[in-house]
Amino acid sequence: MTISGRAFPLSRRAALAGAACLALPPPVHAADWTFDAYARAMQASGRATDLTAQTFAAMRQRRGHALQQLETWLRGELGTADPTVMRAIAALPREYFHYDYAAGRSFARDAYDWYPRAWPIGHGSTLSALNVQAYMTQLVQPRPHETALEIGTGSGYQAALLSRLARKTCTIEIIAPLGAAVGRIFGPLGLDNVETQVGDGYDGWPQERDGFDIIVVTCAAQAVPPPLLRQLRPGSGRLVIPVGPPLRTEQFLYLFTRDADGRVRSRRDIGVWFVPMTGRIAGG
Amino acid sequence: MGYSGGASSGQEWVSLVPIDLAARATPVRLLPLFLVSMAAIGYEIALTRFFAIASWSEYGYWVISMTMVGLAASGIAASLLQRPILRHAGRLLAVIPPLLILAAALGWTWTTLVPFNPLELQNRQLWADQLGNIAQYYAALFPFFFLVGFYISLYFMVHSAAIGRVYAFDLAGAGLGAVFVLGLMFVVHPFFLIAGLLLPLAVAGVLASFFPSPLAGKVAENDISTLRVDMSGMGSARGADNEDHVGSPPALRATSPRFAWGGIGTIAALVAAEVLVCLFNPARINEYKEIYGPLNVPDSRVVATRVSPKGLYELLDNFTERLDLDMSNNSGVVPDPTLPRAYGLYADGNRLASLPRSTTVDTGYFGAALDALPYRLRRPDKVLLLGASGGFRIHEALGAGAGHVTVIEPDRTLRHALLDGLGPAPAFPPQPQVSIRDLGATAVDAIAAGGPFDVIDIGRDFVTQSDTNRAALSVEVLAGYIRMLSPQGVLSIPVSIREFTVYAVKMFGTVRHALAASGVADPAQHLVIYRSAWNVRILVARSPWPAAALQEVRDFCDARSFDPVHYPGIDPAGVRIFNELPVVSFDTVETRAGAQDAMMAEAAASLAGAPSPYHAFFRLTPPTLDRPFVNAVLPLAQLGTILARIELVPREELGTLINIAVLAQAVVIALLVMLLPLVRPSGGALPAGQFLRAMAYFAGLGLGFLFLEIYLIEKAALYLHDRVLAFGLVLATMLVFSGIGSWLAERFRSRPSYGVGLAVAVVIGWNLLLLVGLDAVLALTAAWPGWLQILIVIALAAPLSVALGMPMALGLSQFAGKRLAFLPWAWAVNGACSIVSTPLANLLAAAIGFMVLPLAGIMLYVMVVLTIPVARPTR
Repeated sequence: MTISGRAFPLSRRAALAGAACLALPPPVHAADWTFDAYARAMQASGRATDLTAQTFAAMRQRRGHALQQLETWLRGELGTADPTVMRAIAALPREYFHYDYAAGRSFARDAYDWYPRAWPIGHGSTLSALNVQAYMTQLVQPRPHETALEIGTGSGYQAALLSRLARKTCTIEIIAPLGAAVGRIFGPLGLDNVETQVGDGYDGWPQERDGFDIIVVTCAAQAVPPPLLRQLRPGSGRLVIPVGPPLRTEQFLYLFTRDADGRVRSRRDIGVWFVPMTGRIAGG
Repeated sequence: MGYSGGASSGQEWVSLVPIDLAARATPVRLLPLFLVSMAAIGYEIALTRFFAIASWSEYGYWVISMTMVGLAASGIAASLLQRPILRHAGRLLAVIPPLLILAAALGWTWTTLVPFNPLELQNRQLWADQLGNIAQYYAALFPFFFLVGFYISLYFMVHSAAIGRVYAFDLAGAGLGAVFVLGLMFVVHPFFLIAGLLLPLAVAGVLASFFPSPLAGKVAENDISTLRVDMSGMGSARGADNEDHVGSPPALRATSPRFAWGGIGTIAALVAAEVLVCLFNPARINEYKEIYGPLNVPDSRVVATRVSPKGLYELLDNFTERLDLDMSNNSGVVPDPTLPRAYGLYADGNRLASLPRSTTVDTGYFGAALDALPYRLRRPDKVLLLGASGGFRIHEALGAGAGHVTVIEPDRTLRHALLDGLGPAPAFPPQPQVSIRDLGATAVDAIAAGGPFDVIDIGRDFVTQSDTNRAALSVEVLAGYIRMLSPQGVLSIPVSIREFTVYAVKMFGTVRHALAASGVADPAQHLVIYRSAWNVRILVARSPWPAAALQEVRDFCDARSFDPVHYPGIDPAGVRIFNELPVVSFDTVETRAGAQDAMMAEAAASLAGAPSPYHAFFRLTPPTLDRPFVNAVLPLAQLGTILARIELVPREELGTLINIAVLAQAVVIALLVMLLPLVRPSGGALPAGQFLRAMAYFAGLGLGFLFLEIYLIEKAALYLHDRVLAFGLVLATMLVFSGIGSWLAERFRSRPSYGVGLAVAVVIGWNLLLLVGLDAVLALTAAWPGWLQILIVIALAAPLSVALGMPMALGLSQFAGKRLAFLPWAWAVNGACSIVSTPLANLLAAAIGFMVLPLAGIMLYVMVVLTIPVARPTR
């Protein structure tokens, strides 16, 4: 199986990882995510919502279809939909992350609209399209024993998704009002393996002495901050940077890996959104 | 066949021209027009500044389009509703200024409230909402520009007997309005410029109340008895003073207004408007701009602010601000690769540079930087830096062993920061081996006087700071830099490939042409190209690279995990790629991994003069000084594919697409305006031949004037290395001196064909002189003091502008009398075609070059002289 012509070693390792993933603690309300549970979680996280039981039910009804569409899309575009990633996505109520922190307004009712799209969440930050987040997560292949670091918490969805797949996820948000608000949303979902911080991502998370297997960076600089690369575990570490203006679905992903000898390599991943409209795919 | 457009009475065409209005068009009566024109152009420029800051500068073009809708609509309204308008002319002239104040303030406030997000416009799922926001902009600004156009049209109709003088005040007001608002920008935050622009409107309103229009005054004194109808039509051999006025138009039975209330109303409107725009101004910087994040981290502070026409400069101090440099990701290349803390300098919300926090900088990090290689290949005794990155690059060059460093820093704020410091950021400590020069990047001869140089290093942020800086990457300028290298010297050129590789490919071809232009027979022997994941550096040597240098290139890249793209003798199969880079075009995707690097294939093809293997979709024509567009790679013939891939279009290319959108709208509106008389159900008529001639005449003037103006702005921008200054200077000069030309045109009123012929002869002659000698003059004076350069630009533009101002006034003067309704129509046609010409000129320049503009201007003015719509005497 290939993605954009590149070998994508998913099958056996992913299956094992998927099985192991089941051992991770599910979110508290995942099993019975009702309107009341949603309303309680929103209240506990200090956010308002105007969703009613009826609109909640209507929105949740679209969820199954949206996930099915996502799976079909991933299969169609990538050749496969990583079952571990799909399970993790299914375990997370995406509507919980649909919140504009500048306006203080939930837009949960749009959570399962297809086609997936990016959403402004205030303070210059966005909730990326679900298919982009699914793709990026498949790209870095988190495993249950691994640790992940996210620079740029944003909506919190990516950190929550990584937390369903990795042992521990740390996330840093640079924008103070956004970071403070989003830092409160993981607890009510029972995502107790997510650690949050408001501050500078340049220095990474030095408290994690063993480094990270996965680092996801929202980065505008010309170079990956050296401290982050130092915190990338040699031999197995993967660091991914989405590049491109916010709110576009067609972003580039740069994947950096650190060899055992400390040498860093990079690969620009052009993603599935760059399939040619006409003409040819060279190489292959 | 007749075309309607004037007031009619039975079989006779009648005019509504008062008998003695030429004499009554005194300066004090025309002053309100002057002030309204002044405020209107200021408002338009202030809006472009608002869009540049709140959104991005590309969207400033849209203001032109929004302006036009209101102006064109007013011309149509004035043309169609001439009789009722003139009936209430006095009242309208008194009431419009306070209405303009309110429309300006409310329109501004509404504009700032619109939640327009340009990024969503490029998203296939989100764009629809943004169309609604754009519609809101049009709605918000329509009333102001409609009233402006209506007011000017009204003046033209009321004072049609002295059209040259009226047009002179209109133009001079607009010209000085540009100067006024640019001056305001030095002291007022761009979001509050509107507060200052309301003042001229208020003065206009008060003046109108003290010096009511002659029409209104006459009506007040003696009802309609002094107003007579001109039965003579527009006798071409008869001046206004000789008009034969008979009859009296019942349309002018107006009631007598009292004008005292006008002044009170104006003051009340001003107070309300100032309160609104000063105390409830919700304008803010787009949250997706680079400044937003750093501005909103804990303890972030704005430690210095500078306002200027060129931008709103803000210096930030917070924990995110560091020098931003492309570094090796490998550990151990240098003992400490940590980039130094800095202040962040932003212009209009875009990051401009890092400024050092102290006068000394430990540049130990520089050995791991992509930019460091040229300093290792050549002994850098004399270094030329284009852009100092706030001073960091001077420290780096000196740290790398430079003996003498010459810095070209065209941006005034950055240069002052280097020389005098900015807020808490210290000045670069004066050193005898460092000279900081106020020169533009294209002033090759002046720069060469300080050479030859061992290293010429173009800063990465230098080429992103302004388009006049980017002109450094044109073929002629690069060839000039190559010529000013010492025999062993090296020129280092940066290109970003972070999103798209096409700009690097375009630059490969540009450098090949530059080498050829500087006399190098085999460019491949003089080039080294290498890259990181996100940036390419092209090194150009004056002499072929020696083997030792090439070994240093390989070692440098290998130690830092950078990838060589080209060097003489490179074996692509033997190169280990550290940063895989599939290239992306709009119609093809290169997805090979681990095989030969696509950039290598591109470089090889480009240096061999072969077609691009992966970027054939794009226009890769090298930029030249006549077509200095380093970006502009989108092939407009493939517009369908481009729009289908709109999400991929980088911001650098958006200006082209916005130009197309504005042009399409402008053409539609211009056609509507031009053809308006065909659908007028009743009224005065113009013979078909004269109608067509008038259409061609005023369209030609609108297109031609702007073509020449844009050409001069472009030349002045590179000369003064400041586009905003060039824009303001050329615009003001041309408008003011055109106003003088318009005033002078009154002398030719009895001989309009002669006057137009004379003016066009001067226009053509001066243009030919510019074509022959302008570049030489500008090059010769490139290093002269700024104030002298400003005078030179004025001297170059003024004579031409005087001539440009005459045909419009003489043309408009043909539409007094029975053809009065054609006067606002002619003005609207001219205005509409002016708006067409702005995006059209930009697109033509990008496709062909700026040289096409004066040539097209000459042809248009030839058309003008052939189509002057001289009225025949009525029998």
